[in-house]
Order: sequence, then C-alpha cells, then structure tokens
Amino acid sequence: MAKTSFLGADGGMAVIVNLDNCIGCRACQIACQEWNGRTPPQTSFSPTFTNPPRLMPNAWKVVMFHEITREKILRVEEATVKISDAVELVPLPFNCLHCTDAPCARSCPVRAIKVTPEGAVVIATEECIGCGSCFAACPFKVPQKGPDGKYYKCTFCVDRIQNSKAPACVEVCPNRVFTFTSMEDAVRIAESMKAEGKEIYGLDLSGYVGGRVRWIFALSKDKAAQVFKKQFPEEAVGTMGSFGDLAKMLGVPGLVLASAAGIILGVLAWRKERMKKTESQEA
Amino acid sequence: MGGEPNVNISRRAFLKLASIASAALALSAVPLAEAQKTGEFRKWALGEVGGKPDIVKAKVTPVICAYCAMDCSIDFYTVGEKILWTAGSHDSPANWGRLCSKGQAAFQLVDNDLRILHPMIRTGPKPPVEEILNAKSWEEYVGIIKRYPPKWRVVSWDEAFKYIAEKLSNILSEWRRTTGAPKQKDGYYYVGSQVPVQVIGSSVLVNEEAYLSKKLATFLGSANMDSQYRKCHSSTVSALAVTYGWGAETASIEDVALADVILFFSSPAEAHPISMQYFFKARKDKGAILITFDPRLSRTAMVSDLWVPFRSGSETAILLYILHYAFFERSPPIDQLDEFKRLMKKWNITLDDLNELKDLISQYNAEEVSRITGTPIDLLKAAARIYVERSGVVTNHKKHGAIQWAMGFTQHTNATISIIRAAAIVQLLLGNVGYPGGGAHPFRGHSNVQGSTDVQGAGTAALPGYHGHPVSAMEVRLYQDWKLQGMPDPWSWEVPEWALGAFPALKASAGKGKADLGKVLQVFKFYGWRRHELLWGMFCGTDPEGDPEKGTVICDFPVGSGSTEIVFPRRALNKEIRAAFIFGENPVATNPNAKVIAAALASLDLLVVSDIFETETAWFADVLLPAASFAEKEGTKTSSGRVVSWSFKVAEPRSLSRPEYWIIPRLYKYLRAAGAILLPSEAYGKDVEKVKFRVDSEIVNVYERRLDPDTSWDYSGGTGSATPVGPIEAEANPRIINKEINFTVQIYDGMYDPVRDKFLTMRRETTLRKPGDIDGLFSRAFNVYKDFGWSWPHNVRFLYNYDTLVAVLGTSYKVKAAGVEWVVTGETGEIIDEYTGEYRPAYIPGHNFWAPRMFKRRLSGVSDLWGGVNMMKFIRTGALEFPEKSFVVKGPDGGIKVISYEEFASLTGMKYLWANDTLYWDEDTTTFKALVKRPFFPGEGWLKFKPKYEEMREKLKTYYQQTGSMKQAVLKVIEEMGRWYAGYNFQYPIHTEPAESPDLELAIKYPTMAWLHPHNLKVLKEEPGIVAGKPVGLALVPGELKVEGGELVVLTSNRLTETWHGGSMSRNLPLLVQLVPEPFAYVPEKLAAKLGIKPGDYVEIVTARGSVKMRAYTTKGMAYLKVAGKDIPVVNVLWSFNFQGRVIGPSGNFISPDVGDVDTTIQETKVWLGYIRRAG
Repeated sequence: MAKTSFLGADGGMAVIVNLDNCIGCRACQIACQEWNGRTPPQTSFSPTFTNPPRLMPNAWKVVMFHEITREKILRVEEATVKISDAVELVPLPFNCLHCTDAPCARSCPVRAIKVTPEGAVVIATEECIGCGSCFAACPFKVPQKGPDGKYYKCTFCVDRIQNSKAPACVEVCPNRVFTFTSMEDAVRIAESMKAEGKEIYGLDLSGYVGGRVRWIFALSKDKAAQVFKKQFPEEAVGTMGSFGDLAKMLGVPGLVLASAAGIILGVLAWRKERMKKTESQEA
Repeated sequence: MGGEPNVNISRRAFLKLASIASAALALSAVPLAEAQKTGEFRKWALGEVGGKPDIVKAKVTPVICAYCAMDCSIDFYTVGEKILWTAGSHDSPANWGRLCSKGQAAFQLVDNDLRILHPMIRTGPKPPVEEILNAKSWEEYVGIIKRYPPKWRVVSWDEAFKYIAEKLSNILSEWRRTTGAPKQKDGYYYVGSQVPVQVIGSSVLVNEEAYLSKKLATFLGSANMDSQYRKCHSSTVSALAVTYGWGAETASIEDVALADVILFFSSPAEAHPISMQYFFKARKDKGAILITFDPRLSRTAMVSDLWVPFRSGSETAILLYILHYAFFERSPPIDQLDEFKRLMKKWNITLDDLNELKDLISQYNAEEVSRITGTPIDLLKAAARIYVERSGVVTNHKKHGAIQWAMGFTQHTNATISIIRAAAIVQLLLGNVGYPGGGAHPFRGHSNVQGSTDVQGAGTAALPGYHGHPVSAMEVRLYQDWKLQGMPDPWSWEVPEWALGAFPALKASAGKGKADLGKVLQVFKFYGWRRHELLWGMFCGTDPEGDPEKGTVICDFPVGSGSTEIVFPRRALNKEIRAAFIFGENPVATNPNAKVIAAALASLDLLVVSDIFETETAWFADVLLPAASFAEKEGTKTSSGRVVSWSFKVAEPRSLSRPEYWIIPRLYKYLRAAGAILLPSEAYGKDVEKVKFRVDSEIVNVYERRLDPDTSWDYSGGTGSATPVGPIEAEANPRIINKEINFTVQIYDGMYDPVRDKFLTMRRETTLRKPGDIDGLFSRAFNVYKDFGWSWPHNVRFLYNYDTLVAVLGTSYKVKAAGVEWVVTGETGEIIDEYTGEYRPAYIPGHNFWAPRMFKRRLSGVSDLWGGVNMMKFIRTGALEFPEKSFVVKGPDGGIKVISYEEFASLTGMKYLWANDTLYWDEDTTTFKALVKRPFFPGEGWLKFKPKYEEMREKLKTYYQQTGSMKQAVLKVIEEMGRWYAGYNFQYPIHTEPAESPDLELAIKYPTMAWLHPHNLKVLKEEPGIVAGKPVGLALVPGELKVEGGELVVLTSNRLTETWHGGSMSRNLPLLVQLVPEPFAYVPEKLAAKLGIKPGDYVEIVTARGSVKMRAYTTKGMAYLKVAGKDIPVVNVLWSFNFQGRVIGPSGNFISPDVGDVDTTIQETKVWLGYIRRAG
C-alpha cells in the first residue's frame, strides 16, 4: 500500500469548511489557480452559476452553487418570522477531499499518487501514466485528465503546507470559511459545530475512503439535508455501492500491485462508461 | 481585544504537526529517495507545484487593490519586474490577509496581452452620430460601431501631446475669440459651464492623479469636470452632506462590527466581499441580525437572517414605514422617550416640525407601503420592529443599528431628496448615527472613489476639498474683503454692510464674535480659495487689492457649476462641448442609455482618452494614451470609510505606459506652450498679489506674492521622505503632489506631517491605541485601528461621535497632550500643536456635525495662511521661506507693526504655525446641528403642500385621461401649476415613483420627482433636436410601451462579485472571465415558466431605448411581487459586458434611461420599464 503506515485517520492535517460563512465569492477558486499556475479554462454561461461547471484539470477547486427551498423560521427577541417556502442559495467550495485512506492512491498502478505526512494526497505528475484508475476509484469524481493525458487535482497545497503556510484557498477566504488545522483539532471543532446544530459531512464515511476525509464540511442542518445530498455521492457516505462492486470486480490489492495492461484497460473501459453515464445525467 | 475579527488557522496545531512530521521522517527506516519511489514521502519546495520556486527570493510590496473601496492591501511578490504571486496583506485592517476573487485576480491587470502600451492617434473616421442614435437593438448598434474602427497609428508621447495641444488650442482660441472670454462685463474670469471642454476622471486613479485632473480642468477655466462618483454615490454625498455636514460614510468599517442589527440595501457580499468579515463579527460578537432588502436573492441575502424582496424604486416607502412603526405602532412611541428628547436638540427641529414630519409619516402605514413596495406585510413589520427595537434611542445606546447601501439607493431620480435623506433621518431619529454600530454606511464602489470625490471637490461646482467655486463676481469681492480682514475664521469675520444685499443668508450673524452655519460655510469656501491661490500660484480677488467694492474682479477659478457626466452627452450633441479628456474611465459602458453617450463622443472635435485597455470609450477617441496599471505607480487611495492609505509601486510601467501623475503635468506643459491655457489674471496682466490687511480702517501692506502658475505644475525632484522612487517619479513626483493636497484640501490637512516629514498615510500599525494616548479609550473600547493610514478629518474614524464615550461607556476621558490636559467625550482626532509641534486632540470635546468646517484660527487678522510661508517651495524642497515681514501686530502703544516670522514666533511661542495654520476647535465650534428638516426647492412645507399635492394628482389623472399620454399630462401640469411639484419644498422625504413606473395608479398617486430637473425635462422632450424621434427616450407608464407578446417587468441592474462596473477591469482578465463569461438576466422562475423560458435560453428585453438579448438565469430568488394589487415581476440585468475585450456581450446600459436624480443627475439605472419574452 502506498499510504504511509504511521498516518491513520487521526493524524495529519484537515480543513473544516464552515459553509454557513461562505459568501460564494470564489476567491478560493482563483487563488487555487494562481498559486498552482493553472491557466483558467474557457467556459460558457452556466445556468447554475457554478463555473466551470465541474472540477477540471485547470480548476482544482470549484464553488458549487445549490438553490433550495425550505421552511425558514427566524426567532429573535423582537419578532418571529416564518417563511414556508424560503429560497436559499448555498455555495459549496469543492475540491479533492483528501480521503484518509485514499482509494485513488490505492488504485494507482504505478504508485504515482503520494500521501504525505500531512495527509495530502498528491498526484506526482511526472510519474502519472494517465490510466484513469484514480478517477475510476474516486467517489467524488475529482481527478481530471489534462490535455497531456495526465491526471490533475488539488494537492492540498502540499508545497505550502509543507512549508508552514496554509493552503492558498484557506488563506484568501474573505469570510473564514476554512479552518486549517490538525485532524485532531478538526474533529473537536466539528463536534462542537454539531452541538450547535450543524450537520457535518466527512467524518463518518465508508471504510472505502478510510472512514474520514480531510476536508470536512459543516452546514446548518436545515440546509444540509438537501445540499449534502445533492453534492456528495451516496457511495462515500454509507455502503460501498458501485465502488465496492468495482473494487470487488478488480480486486483492490490486485489493482494496486498489478501492472498488467489488461487490468488497466479494464478500468479504462469502466471509466469510459461511467463518464458517458455522468454526461447523460448532466445533460 | 483587537486583532483580526476571527483567526482560524491554528498556529499551535501547525507547529505540533510539523514536529510530528519531522519525527516521522527521522524514525523512518526507509531512505528518502526510496520513499519517494514507493510514494511514502516526498518534500515539496514552496511554489514547486505552480512553477514558482523563486518565490522565496521575492520582494513583497503592498498595493491598494484596484477594485472596490474597501481598499484591501495586496502583497505583490515579485522578482525583478516579474510578478510571481499575490496575496492579501496581513498588516491591513481592511482585509487582514484576505482577498475576494477580483482582488486575487487583480494582478492580471498588470500583465495582460490586451494592455495598450503606446500612445496612438486615430486615423479612421468616427461612427456617424445619427446612425448610432437610430439603432433599435444591441446587434444593430454594435454593427454600426464596428464598421468604423479607430485605425490607430502608434506615435511617441511627444507627438501625441503636440497633436492634442494643437487641436485644443485651436478649439479654445476660436472660442475665446468669438466670446471674448475670459473678459466679462464685470471682470476677468471664465464662466465654468461655457468653456467647451469636458474633463472626466476618475475613481480608479490615486488621489494625486485625480487631483491633477481637476487642477487641469480649473486651469482650462472649465467647470465641466466630473468623475465616476457622479454615477455611483453623488446622491449619497449630497443627501448626507446636507443632513450631517459631510457626504461620506459616517464611520470606518470597524463600526459595522459594533452593530446589533444591519439593514442591507445593497449586496456587499458581492460588491464589497471583504467587508463581510466585519458584519459576521457583529453577528458573532453581538448577535446582530442581518436583514437584506433586495429584489434579488443576492449573495448577501443568501447569508442574511432575512431576505426582504421589494420593488426597486420604492425604498423611501420602506424607510418611512420604519418610522411609522417607531412613531405610531410601538408603545411608547419613540418621541416619548427621554433619549429622543435629548437628541432632538441636535437636529435643528422644533416640536411643530416634528409634528409635521409625523403627519407625513402617518400616511405610510404597513398596508400602503406593502402596496407600493410589493413586500409582504409580515416581513415589513418584522424588519421594522427588529430595527427600531435595537436602536440607540430605544435601548439608551446599549444597541444600535446600521444601514448599509450602494447603488440600490443612489441610482434613482429621487435618491438625494427622498431615499437617502430618509435613511439619514431614520438614523438620526433612532439615535444611531454618531454612536458605534449606528453608522450610515454607503459603500463606495471604486477603490478611490471617495478620494477622487474629495480631491476633485465632487467635480462640477467646487475646488478640491469641496471649497465651492465662486458663484458670481460679487462673491469674489466679498472674498477680497475677507482677505483684507486678514483671512479670519467665521467668528472673527465681519461681513461688510455692502455685501449683505447680495448675501442675505449672512445677515443673521454678520457681526464679529458670532457665527452660524451660513457664515461658517462661506468662510470654508474662502479659506479653500486662499489655499488654492497660494499652492497653485493663481489669483482670485480684485485689483487693486485694497478696494474690494470697486476694484476690477479677476478670478482664475472658474465661476459657477458645469456639466456632470450625465448631462454632458446631450450638451455635446448640442455642440456646447467640443472637446473632452477622459482619464481612466469608460463612460460608453458605464453611462446610461449607451447610444446617447456613444453618439456624444462621436460628435466631439477632440477626444483624448487614457486607459490601460482599448475600452469602448477608447473606440471613439482621437488620441489614446497608455496608462500605468494600479501596481505600476504609487500614491494614496481613500477607502469608503475615509481611511487614506498609501499604495506602493511594484514595478516600472510596462513599455511606454505612464501613470496619470506623469501624463497630466506633461499635458499641461504642451497645452501651455501651444496657448491653450490662458488664465484670467494673465489676460488682465496681473502677476503680483499685494497682500494687504485692513486694520482699524487703515490699509496695511503685508507682503507681495508673485503669481507663478507654471511652477505649481513642476513636480520634479523631491527630498527627504519625498525622494522619488523611480525615474518616472523623478520627473513627476506623486509625493510632492500629496503634500500639495495636504495644504490645498482642508479636510486632508494632516495626512502629511510637515514637522516630522512623514506621510501618515504610509502607516501600517495594526495595534490599538493605549490608555493615555489621544483617543486611546475610543480606539480600545471600539476596536478602531487609528494608526493604520490616516483618516479625514484629522484622523477621526467615526464621524459625529460627539458624546460616544459618555453615552455608551458612561465616562469622559482625560488625556495629556502638548503639555495640556484635555477632557473629552468622543473621538477627537489629532492635530499638530502650533506651540510645541506635538500632537494634541483636534475636536474638543468630540467630533460633531459639520466639523471641521467651523474652525477657529489664531492668525485671524494677523497673517496670511501659514504665516505667508512660501508653501509652493516648502513642499518641493522642505525649505521654510517666509516673507521678510508678514505678521501684523499691534504694539503696546496701539501702533500697527508688520513683523517677521521669527519675531512673531518668539513673541507668541507659535513656532509651528506654518504646520497647522493655528486652527483649533473649541466647544463653540462643535455644537452645530444636523438638519432633519431641509428644504430643497422654493415652496411650502408638507402640511401646506398637502392640498396642492391632491390638486397635482387630480390634474395629472385628468390630463392623462384626456391625452392618453403621460408626457403630455406632465407638461400640462407644469404649465398650469408653474412648476412640477409646485408648492413643496421637499423639506422631508416622500415616496415618488421612478420616471418609468410599472403602474398607472401609482404613477398618478406618487408622481415621479424627475421633472424637477431641467436635464430630465430635456430627456422627456427629446432634446436636443438630433435625438428627437429616435429610440433614446422614455416610456413613463406601461401603456406607452407597445410590445407584441411578453410580460411587463420592472427592470433593474446589478453587477456581481466577479464583474466590475463597465467591465474593462473584469472581462479582460482570464481568471474572472471563466467565472462569468457572458452577461445574463435574472428571471423569476414563475415568470420563466409562464413564458416557456428554460435556464440558459436567450430572452429579449424590449424598452423605449431598444432591445437586448441575454441568457436567462432562472431562479426562485428573484422577486415576483404583488404591487398595487397586480403581479409585478422584477428582472435584473448585468451591465458589465460590452463590445470590446476578451469576452463581449450586450450591456444593461443599452436599455437604461438617462434621466437622473433631481439634485445630482445620477442616472436612474436601478429601475426602469420593459417587456421580456423568449428570444426567437
């Protein structure tokens, strides 16, 4: 296994993403591109506001906008206001969640995906052979194939966090959405947020991703019920789902160790199908 | 206490982790090389992923952001001229290391392949005026324009300047020949509006540049001078200034963190994203409730506690309803509270006045306001209740509420007189303004829009610093008499008998020892004129100086007001303006009714534009000058909250681009050499001012001053802290200009410390003041960062907080400074002491309405400003050169003597009189009242107007029924009643409909205010002749807009976090373009369903000005209202796209009307009328 043996789900760094603070300004999206030297992709009008509409090889972080309606009640000393169909817009800054036991790293046949002592899951571009098994393995559809055939994604700003700096998106955020801290601390913060009535995504996931991810999302319960469901795949939440099946089909340890072309091609074929399915869903 | 509102990065956790990681590395048995291979360890160098390993060697330079007026500081990491990285500066309380998407992308303004880098002269013909005006759709308009490209010829700076100078000189020489100007019947001066030159620009320039653009206009004799501020907050400035004394936001950003409830009437999360951290701090620390009023579910509404949708254009009704709750629904009514009664003394109203106001407010009950605004009654009531119950007057200053606004308030025909006046009055009556957390917070758009407004005196009618232009030759005579009295303060000034007929407002306190607001404002004007005369080497007064009554009037300052940015285009089409200079602005994109401005520019004989990109405005230019970007120059910017801070220079300007502080002085030189500039004093032949004082009816010669306007334009060199930072600055040094502003603009006096040779705007202290310091308690108690930059006036951060310490903290504050113990009750600011050169508190006991205009001056009747020191020389060389003798004193025998500075200083101890001109503010000066009641027009007050109001409504209704035309009805009412709204002086705000109202019943019940301004009548009557019959007019009521199919909608406009005003600074930046690559319209989902519009479909929006096609962003978060019983959807269009640049698309301004606010002419681009349908 490529992951470091001493770094379990309790160690390393993590980021709490307090979505209730997010004003959707997308500075994080820009800072990510600037720091990582990414040329912004060409886009067109987005009916959901989200743009680019998904993660891309040159957009490792994208703020996803979700419009929902719900019952809203404001109770203050002076007044109580009840709005039965209050419309809400919820932005969700999205990037690689850095699973504590990253399926992408496990799946990489050439071990090009490194896991650092901080817990950053990083594709070493120079080693990537572009096979796509990482994408296939990722429940969040994070790694994206670039024009050079290699896969790209958020590195957790590995070259910053290893040099005593917070990730670029964390540093730029005008409204303190992100708290970059140790996993230990993050769990504590998340617990207290939960006690304040927020729902937490990222700490109680399937074993497939290590049970936890390092980017942990917090959002008021009344919004989270809809937004988390829209944003995050069920696979990573509960059962292994289709990924479990895939893992079973290919045999995870086998996939990691094997360099047999046949297996890789098999993964690619599956991935192609999956992409098609995704596209038709999105259309 | 203090520090960032919230610090989230846990440094402790970080250190801990670093030690774990290194321990792990040490313990690992696997060699690193091997580990890398197996994927176990790999150490990345800083900047490695993004290919910027040199970042560790980078120089870091803080620059003030080019976008909004939060004035965040951006650290530029550079190696040589190369920009590697940008990040928010941690040592700025504006942003504490944070940036928004625009701020983070701003570096792409510097290195951008679309930058223009050489001066260029047009060789192609301009698009034909009539064709432009005739275009019915955006596509047609762009088609016409694109057929006439500029065909630039690249030239040298020398050739560009020569070309401009020759052309302008021809235009002006001919004009002077035919009009005889500057010689007038009663003296030598230019009537500022008649000079056929318009100067525009800008709010992105640093103060030092913006100031020069106004200085250039003044030297040309033109009052046709304006800037971007006209189009964003002129109505705010005007409404707040007449109510509180100053047009600025009442407090710096720290104030909003102290609020208990905030009403947003704009979307700071989008337009001013960095401010949100302070609003969230209020929520966290104080449990503040955030309430957003907006027809759109903006990103501010998205994070607010309440979103209150309403119909744009009905803001006054909402504000008046808040007062309705306070006076008529709550128990007890607020006017029965002790605190209300105490504060009432500060508002300049009587009980009768209050009763009149209450009668007006009684009309605006919840049901009626809901009918007008479309807001559901329960939301309206809840918002009003929360706001009033958390106000200063109700809670005895335990809580306060703040109102925040931007263009949603300002861009209406009734913005000054109704909407913003209503907000200002709400804040006063609720006991909020002047207390922490109770601010009136108009957030400025551009990074230096507040500063540009200040240093251009809001353009048309005043010198830098709002020292109004002379309005008549008679006023110049009065000024000469004031000079003869020894430049006295208001209390020492005696208004001469002979002037009282012409200036009746000065009668009440004409004698010495008295001063009222009228007198104070007159002296403030004169004092400013004198400052400018001395620093600009000009003259304004009479010849001979000793005879103000009969001498010849000569004034180098333009007389009267000129055309604003909104009024200018129709004047140009009427051939009244022949040439224009536009520095760093893009009116073709930002002005309303795009065809009118485009046609106007096409009609000019000379248009000179400076910019960093080839903008839509540049498309019409004769000469295009390449400007430096914001990081290639230095100077000061003034934030929305009046904090002036220094922007440092990162790199030399790319290629031949140059900062405007280099361009404008050069331009002056060439214009001068070509004879384009002729000062009235030169036409008369006056080159020396004999400074004389009248003492006991005896005229005393004090000293002589050589007029030297050309030296005032020489900004080369610089010493001490003004040592030039580069070769361009050695030729034109912004630090010298900064010092000049310090001494011409009274409110900026103090930003440069001449005693210590220090630019206080460069300070970057992020600690609070200590007990014992001046304003130490204030700074600590309210977390105000008084040592970051500098704030006008005299470093006061929260305006009008006269008794804050006592009212909120229950204590006064003792402070020892300049050898004296002062007892103060509010924030005092600080000023250099004339005796010791140390700092002492400025406003005693606190800062109050109208301060610092009502100063006292120890040198009144004794000496010229700063003792007559040669200030032009001092700011350039640091040398203090006084006239041989310049102080008029009386000896012990009563004999009058003129003595030297040295003698006077040793006699009085006022060694530093040259630093502060001996100004001081005692308790006499800090008791001026706010004006809750303030007439804007001749006529009667509300109660007497009521019957006439009914009459006006009746007539309007009858004539509309008779003629079927609202335009005809309006003109008939004006004809019959003598004036629009005849009989009302608008002493208190009332709701009036926009010029284009969506409902006939409301249009008659609450007639628009628009027709009170002659420019709007021009628009109504389709003037000048060339526009008649063309699609650039108005549809006053729905019946006047004939459209097949589609639905009637109220249109409004907005920009987004990712777009910037006219757009040249956003749609040319690849990083921002990807986020919003096309313009679109927000369409309510319900309306979309009705019209079969799917997300992303093109919709056509049809108005009286033609039509545009845009994509539809369909959303439940767009208001679909019940107004006056009818369904009224609101559609919001973006206006930041246009026909030039990296991405293009139709602009909302193609369909917006060019009617304006009846006071300042700011355009009504927040509400107009149209039909929407699915585009075929």
